[in-house]
Amino acid sequence: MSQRRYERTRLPSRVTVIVLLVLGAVSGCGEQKALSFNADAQPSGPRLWLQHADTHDTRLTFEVWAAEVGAVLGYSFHVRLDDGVVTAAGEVTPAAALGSSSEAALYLQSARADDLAVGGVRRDLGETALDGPVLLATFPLDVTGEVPTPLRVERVVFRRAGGAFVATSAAGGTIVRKGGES
Amino acid sequence: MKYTFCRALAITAIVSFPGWATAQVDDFIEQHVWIDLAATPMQIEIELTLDLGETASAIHLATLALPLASVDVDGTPVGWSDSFSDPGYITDIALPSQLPAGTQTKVHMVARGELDCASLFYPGYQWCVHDSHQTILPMTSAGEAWYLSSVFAFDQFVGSLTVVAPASQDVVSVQGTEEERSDNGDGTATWVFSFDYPTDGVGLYAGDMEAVTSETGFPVTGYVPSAHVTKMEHAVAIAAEVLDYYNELYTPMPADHAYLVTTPNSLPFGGMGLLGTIFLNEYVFWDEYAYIVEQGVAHEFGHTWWGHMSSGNHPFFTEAFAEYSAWRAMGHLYDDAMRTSGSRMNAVWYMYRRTGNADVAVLDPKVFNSPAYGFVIYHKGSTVLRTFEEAAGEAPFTAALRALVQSGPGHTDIDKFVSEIAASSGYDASADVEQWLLQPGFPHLEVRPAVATSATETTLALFALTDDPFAFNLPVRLTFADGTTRNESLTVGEDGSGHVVWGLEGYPVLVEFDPRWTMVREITPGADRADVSFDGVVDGVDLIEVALRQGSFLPDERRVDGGYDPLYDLNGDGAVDGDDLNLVLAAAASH
Ligand SMILES: [Zn+2]
Repeated sequence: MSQRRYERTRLPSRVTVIVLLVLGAVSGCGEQKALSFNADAQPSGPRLWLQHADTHDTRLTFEVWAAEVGAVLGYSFHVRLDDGVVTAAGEVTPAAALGSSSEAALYLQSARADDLAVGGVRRDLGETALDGPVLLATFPLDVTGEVPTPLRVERVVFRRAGGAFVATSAAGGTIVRKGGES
Repeated sequence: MKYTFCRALAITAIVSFPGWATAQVDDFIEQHVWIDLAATPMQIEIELTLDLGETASAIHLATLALPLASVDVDGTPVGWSDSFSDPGYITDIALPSQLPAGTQTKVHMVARGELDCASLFYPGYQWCVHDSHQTILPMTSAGEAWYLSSVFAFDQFVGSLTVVAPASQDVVSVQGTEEERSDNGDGTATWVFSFDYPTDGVGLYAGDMEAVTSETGFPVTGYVPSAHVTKMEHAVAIAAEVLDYYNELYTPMPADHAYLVTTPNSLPFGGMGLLGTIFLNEYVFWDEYAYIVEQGVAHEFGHTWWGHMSSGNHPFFTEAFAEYSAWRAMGHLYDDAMRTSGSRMNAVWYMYRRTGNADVAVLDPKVFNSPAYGFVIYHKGSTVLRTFEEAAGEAPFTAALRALVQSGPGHTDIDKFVSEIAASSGYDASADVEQWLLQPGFPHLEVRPAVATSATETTLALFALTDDPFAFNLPVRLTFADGTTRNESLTVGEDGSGHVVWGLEGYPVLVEFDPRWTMVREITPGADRADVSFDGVVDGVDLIEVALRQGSFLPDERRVDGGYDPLYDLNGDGAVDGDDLNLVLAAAASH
């Protein structure tokens, strides 16, 4: 009983703190520049890259695309982020690149503080051509700290039927404030 | 039905006799057999020269499949009687007088009458076949013997076999020398086989089944009922390649033609390997047993080297070595993955399918009476040989095996095995013999990975722990995202623990332990059960790894490769399926 009372009294003060922080940020920087994303140069050949799809205030939505990978059984990749600056704002949503029913393909997602992981595999152990560009996943991030901050794509694995690995290049990028950063 | 592949099931009969442990066995020197298959009734005449093992007034020989008509010892007619201790199996032959140990004695016997093929040891089965179309006499078995072999030990002899058969029948027997056939002009032909290479494994086929001969590779002829000619063609082609491989690998066998004889389903064994000749039960050619043909052919012909050209005082030296050789040959014919599948199948059958979970050391004298006998001798034993190969190195281990073959039949034992390995590789296998062959069980290993990354380097740390008393080097294969690999090893010491840290150029997305199944072992990820890739995180690689094993299962039948690896059976229900995939998804999402 005393615990509930305690929380009720704490709630307004947390809101107050956040409001004060936002006010502080605005007053400190004057006119706020919009958050944006500087994508790394896209490599050629079998590749996977991050694409900035949308921004709402401090929330940025990203897409992960692949191209020229050829026929694959499945894939796996990680997006690493600085959890002191950005936080995952919801579920990572794998796209149904290998098939839409759970009989056709299974998709894995995992969101740790600094590591978003996505994977997919065809249930029938056959292959789907990812010549693309093909959307593999979507995920939102909230920017909670000072940018620029990098988003790195790591451990990109594509495997053919039977399990052989496909050597792939990957491009991440950097979240910035648009209009010239110092 | 017994789905056994063996050199001779008589071996299991041998050890059940009380005389096994105590008697000084007689030493067979030379044996000549004359058998008239065309005569009615059939007649077998045997002349055996042996050295007495102990001072005796009687000798104990395997009971024949047809009644004795007369016996003489060194020219003196003697009497005989059914053994008191092993009636039906052993016949006691009276000596004319008590003779001292070491006396060389010649026993001559004539047996005549109806051939009684009903198996004493396997009630309901036949040990031989004799009708107007064919006669099949496998390696002799006490109670249904047609030549004499020691019932107390492996004991080779030289000699000859003369067969009179209907002229229309082909006759196949023993190894070695050219058979000599002469037409008798009365509808019969006489075949003479002489064998200078010492053996105790003689088989005989005389019949009119279809003959199929290999087109390339080592000359092999298979005899088969017409319904199974196509499958025999395949079996013969495989045998031709396997025999070329064994000849090259070990030492050429003393025969320039090999034979494969189909036996009726009424016989109790799946296969029997003699020197250069094998018997395969016809069920092997039924569609539902298609998986047995190649491994069965490779195993049985393996007995030419393991059980005949060489042999020891224990079935480990025949069955485990033949089974080891079979999968090495299969790997040669196909690829390394094929070899690995056989090794895994054997390890899994031993680890998870033992009758009543019974277990016993491979070389424990009690193995003969254990329900774990087949699991331990064939399946664990062959995998342990793979373990020795890994420790010694493939080429030095092969050299040691070749030395065993070249030492000839009857000379192999565990000390010789260890000393040949030491001579060829410098590796002292004593401790491994102790833990893998002289104690039961296998290691259950838990491995915890930890990956740390910095701007300049990635490190992988592995912590391994087992409660079982085994120390070993575990091969480790690291695979990076681009598919490149790096081979390492992890040492688990006497205290049951192992710890390594490797600095790497990249993140190891897949860490595999003993990927070629070189030992009987169970390996489980210690931190998160779903992290089957042992890289410290459950991700898409784990999903793919489990998916690749979908449909694999723990088989109910021996020699069925269910593709099963317990690592991927997350819920431990004996099948890798959608439930296991869902466990990977759930483990990933829970972070
Ligand atoms: Zn065998």
